[in-house]
Amino acid sequence: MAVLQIIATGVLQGLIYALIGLGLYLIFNVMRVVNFAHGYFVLIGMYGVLSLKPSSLADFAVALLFVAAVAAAFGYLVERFLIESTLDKSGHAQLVITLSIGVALQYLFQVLYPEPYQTIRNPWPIDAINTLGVTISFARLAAGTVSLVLALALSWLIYRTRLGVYMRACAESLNGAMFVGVNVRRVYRSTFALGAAAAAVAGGLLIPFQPVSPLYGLELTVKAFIVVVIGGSGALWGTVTAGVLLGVAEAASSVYVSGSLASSVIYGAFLLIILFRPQGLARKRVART
Amino acid sequence: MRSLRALVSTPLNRANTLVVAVALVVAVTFPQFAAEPTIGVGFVALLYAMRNLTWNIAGGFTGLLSIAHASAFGIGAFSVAVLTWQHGINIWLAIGVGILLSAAIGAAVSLIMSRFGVNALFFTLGTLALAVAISGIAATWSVTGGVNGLQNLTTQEGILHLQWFTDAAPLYYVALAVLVLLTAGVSWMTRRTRFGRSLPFIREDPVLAASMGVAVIRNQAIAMGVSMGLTAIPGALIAQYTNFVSYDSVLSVEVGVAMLVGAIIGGSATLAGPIVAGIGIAVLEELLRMFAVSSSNVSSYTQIAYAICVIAILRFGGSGIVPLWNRLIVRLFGTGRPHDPESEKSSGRSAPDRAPAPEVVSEHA
Repeated sequence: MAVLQIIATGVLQGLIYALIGLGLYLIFNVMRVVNFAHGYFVLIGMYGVLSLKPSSLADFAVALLFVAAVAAAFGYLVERFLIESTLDKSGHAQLVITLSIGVALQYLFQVLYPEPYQTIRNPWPIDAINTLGVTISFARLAAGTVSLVLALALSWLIYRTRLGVYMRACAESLNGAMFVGVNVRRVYRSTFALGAAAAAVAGGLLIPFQPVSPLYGLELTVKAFIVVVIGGSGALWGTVTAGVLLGVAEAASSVYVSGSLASSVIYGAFLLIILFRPQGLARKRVART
Repeated sequence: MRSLRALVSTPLNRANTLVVAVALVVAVTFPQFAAEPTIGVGFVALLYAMRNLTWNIAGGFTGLLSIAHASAFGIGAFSVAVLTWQHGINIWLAIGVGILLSAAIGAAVSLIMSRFGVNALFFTLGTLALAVAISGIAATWSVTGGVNGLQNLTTQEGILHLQWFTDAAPLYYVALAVLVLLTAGVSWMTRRTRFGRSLPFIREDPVLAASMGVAVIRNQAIAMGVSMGLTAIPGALIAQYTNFVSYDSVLSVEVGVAMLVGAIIGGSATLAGPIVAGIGIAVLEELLRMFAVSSSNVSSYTQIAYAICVIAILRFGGSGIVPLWNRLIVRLFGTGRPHDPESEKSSGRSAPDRAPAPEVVSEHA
């Protein structure tokens, strides 16, 4: 029974990590920018929904759309005014700029919401589901399901739309994309906005059952990186699988290992995976030149 | 004599020599005219400068952007806390143990990462994961005091015990002496030794460096070892200053990030950049503490202002404070070599940048 419970909780949590990871995956693969502020984009969603205080399901849906729009606008502005001019410089500049954006957001939230670990009342009609001896809060179940749907929608966008083709072109070969006339700047801005929006929606889905604190941002950034690195750069399914694996590993280690050591186990495992399989789960078939 | 004359040979060198001389005089006389709490600020500023400088050996000169230095800082602090405070072993011995342990971890991390061919980004992520993992271990291990941390309950004072409970000035002078020694040592290493000169070469193009006979993997490992080993020293000093150590205060990832950011905004390829940035950050923190009205949010506002400064410097300032300053001096006073257009470019950059690559070639001959 305990095993079933772990798997159920872990998979649902993992699907949310997958959605967060997909946002980072897009930014990382298309623009080759290491976005250390990504976890804080999730916090924008969490605090955004928190301050809107949705009381019904309809309110909650509107709040989610709202935070997605806010985060997309924020991401667009960050890319347009801070990242774009540093793209031709070495990687240090983007790394430190996104890190600093994360630090600024963290302490901004600290000032705006001094009370730690706030959450919202469950907006979903049902509280919890109880089958086969497994108890799952409905908010978690719904969040996992919506994340999966959104991940599929993102996949459709990347593989079936014009913007997706442009994005994949930039990821495959920046020069090639430029030669055939792709407006690279616009693609980059859209990518960054999309990645930020995905993170914020995931944050909004998390808030009904995950109390938020400003420190959570760094943890989420690291987890998103774990998902992207383990998933590899080959295909979206790698990222989704990695998210689910991380969720299950986390749920299992929180049961079998005590407190802070649980996260040490996760990060230690991550270190090993980087060492032994740096290319991740899904390998790229075509070598990048 | 030649090196002495070089100090005043160009307007840029004259200006920088003057700045360094004034800074040294101010630093030495500072405790004489400053009030007691301000000496503490000075001490913290020196520590920031010291840890940025030691981070920069690996991060700036060699291009290994490591977050694991947070662990080195914490190991330095915890080796003092565990060995000296808990078991009464002499502090200098404890600092030595901290240095060796951190150096071993640094070299091992670098060797393992090179062995598996990890690229620069994964290096940063891997060291980040390592820092988080080590901090988690310290939070659960009873030897390191778990989540409660360790308190200094010893009573002995003096240079032998590196402890003065009522006076901040002696510890300040110790920090200043260590910082000057470290700066001189790093300067000597990057200019006068083959190993030091090979580091920028490795950073710019490891493949080319290897094909020229530089032992890239070995030198990276030595750089990480030296860098992390020396980072244990400021960790030990902060433990002696605060007399309290916990996983949260010295092992948190933010310590590593602070070193990385500090060195980079100062100018990570330069010797002086990390020191300038470290002192500047400490002063900035103190100023914000003075201006902020409510005390509970001070550190938050400090951090926000700090982050905005960092973003502004990187967005508009190019590669850091010190390169910016050098360019300003050259623009104001000229290069001092009017007939050589080539020097116009090169003297705008800092000394380690100009480390002549051809001499590195003979490394393995």
